[in-house]
Amino acid sequence: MLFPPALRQLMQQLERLPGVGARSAQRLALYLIRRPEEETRRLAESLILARERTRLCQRCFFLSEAELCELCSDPSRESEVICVVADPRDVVALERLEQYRGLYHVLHGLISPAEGVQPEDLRLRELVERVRAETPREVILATPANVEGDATALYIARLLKSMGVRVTRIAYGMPVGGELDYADAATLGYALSGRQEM
Amino acid sequence: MQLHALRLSGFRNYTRAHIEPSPRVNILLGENAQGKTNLLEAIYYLSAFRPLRPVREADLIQWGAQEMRLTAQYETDGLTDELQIRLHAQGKRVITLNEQPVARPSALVGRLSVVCFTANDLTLIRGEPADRRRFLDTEISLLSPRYAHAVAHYRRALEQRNNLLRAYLEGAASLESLPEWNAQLVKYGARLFQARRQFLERLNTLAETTHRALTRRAESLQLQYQPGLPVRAPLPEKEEDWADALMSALHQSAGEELRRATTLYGPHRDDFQILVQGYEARLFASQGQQRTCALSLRLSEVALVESIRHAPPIVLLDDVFSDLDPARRQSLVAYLTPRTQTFITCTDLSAFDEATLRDAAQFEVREGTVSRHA
Ligand SMILES: Nc1ncnc2c1ncn2[C@@H]1O[C@H](COP(=O)(O)OP(=O)(O)OP(=O)(O)O)[C@@H](O)[C@H]1O
Ligand SMILES: [Mg+2]
Ligand SMILES: [Zn+2]
Repeated sequence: MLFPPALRQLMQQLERLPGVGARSAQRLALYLIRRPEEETRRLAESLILARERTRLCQRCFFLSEAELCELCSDPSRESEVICVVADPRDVVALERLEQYRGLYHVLHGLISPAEGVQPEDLRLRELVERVRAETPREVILATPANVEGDATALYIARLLKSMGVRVTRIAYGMPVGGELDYADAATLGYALSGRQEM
Repeated sequence: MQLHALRLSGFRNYTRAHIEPSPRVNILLGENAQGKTNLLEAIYYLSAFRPLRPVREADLIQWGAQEMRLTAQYETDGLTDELQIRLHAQGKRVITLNEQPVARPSALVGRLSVVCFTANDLTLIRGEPADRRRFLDTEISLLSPRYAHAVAHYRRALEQRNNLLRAYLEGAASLESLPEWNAQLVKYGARLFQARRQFLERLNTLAETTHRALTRRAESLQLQYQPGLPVRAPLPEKEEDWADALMSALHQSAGEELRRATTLYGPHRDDFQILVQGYEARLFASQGQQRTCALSLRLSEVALVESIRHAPPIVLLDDVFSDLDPARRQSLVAYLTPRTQTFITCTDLSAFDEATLRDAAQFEVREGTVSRHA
């Protein structure tokens, strides 16, 4: 016995989401169609709205609804320091500390041949151009403390050092292999203040 | 190191069991397929946090059960610990030490220190280089969490580097990030080389002595490290020297590597030779000699752990008496028993002399139950 077509299609769509298997897709779909219609409509609308409105900041590639993100358009941020991170979630994790006052640059990934990600697939050319144009005082590399994060940091350091900019790496007193997103505020704060020259 | 009590529930073929072993020799007696090895595996799992045999962790849970639970009380460095592992069928694992949840179990690997002998140890002698590398990785990891970390990172760096070489061969990538992957490979590779050299050097010294004891001074045993590098003896002393050696091997083999799209040098190509009376045991030793070699390696490990931890580990002996003549059986038991808590599985008692039997605690294992013999 199969589910009716429209429901089945919903299940198939949900199953394509990361971390959702066939069973949880069924559970979610059955849950969603039993909720009040108003609620389902709002969910669908926010999905479309988020999709339509959100784009990448043209300067740092964090998520934004305008040409420039809130951070890049905030005149009180120090624009001579750029912190390079792998993922937009890392920006949020670092901002939660209320310690860092500079700007960011989001790579949207790490170099990882095993996943088919080469340097040119990341926002690296944009970083080099940005450093050339903005001549920051310091670039802080805050990629995670794993093999890919280290390799990416070394690669960036090699690119930027020839341009004469100071490049540092955040000090990982944090759990090895840990992601910024999961690190607790204390270790992350320590990592940021105790950074090392590359 | 001494295990005072062990409680099992929903583990392998044990629905519920409890054992209070003796601090010396514990004989687990039972027919085939009753649960003797499973009991050793429970102890091993509490030490290494992974199964003794190559199965998924969830396979440790009794068929049809939702959860398994192991609780051990043991003494280490004069302190008593209570270590518990709970594993759910869905894969969730909770480890507590003295009722406190343990966030990073990897830091606790080997706290309950255990050395395990199985019939499978023969693959150390007869098997592939990969079998011997696995032995090195498991054993050194129990002694050093830093090593375990380097192993995982080395594997990842190697995988990345090989993927890059392959993508390049297929025209799908440039070699722009190769220097960085070289750097990662060399960083962790040098750590593995250095730790393996050190470990084998110490093990070699101990193996010589233990093997002489097991064979009543008749045979010599030597271990020779053969790093996956074009280096000749003497081997590098420091981690930096290994790093330099590996880096220059990578540079020299660059052309060949690009043609074959794989990393030709590094600890993933390591091996070590086992020599009995100067001849390679894999090729020239008899069945019983090979068995004795494997035992000597494990025994040396016992001595090594003891010298590092200042107390002997718990020793698990699973079906190790086959292929050994009575004299070697006795030497083995005599070598271990004075100070070491030992668990020996067997299907009959013929391997033991009277004195051993008198001092040992005997447990009868039957259909997933274990009871002490008076
Ligand atoms: N997850 C499990 N649930 C229930 N039973 C299991 C599980 N895993 C293994 N068994 C059973 O446990 C039984 C005992 O296994 P074990 O390896 O401990 O036997 P043994 O006493 O060491 O026998 P032998 O003398 O042949 O080595 C096996 O028959 C096996 O089928
Ligand atoms: Mg068995
Ligand atoms: Zn921005």
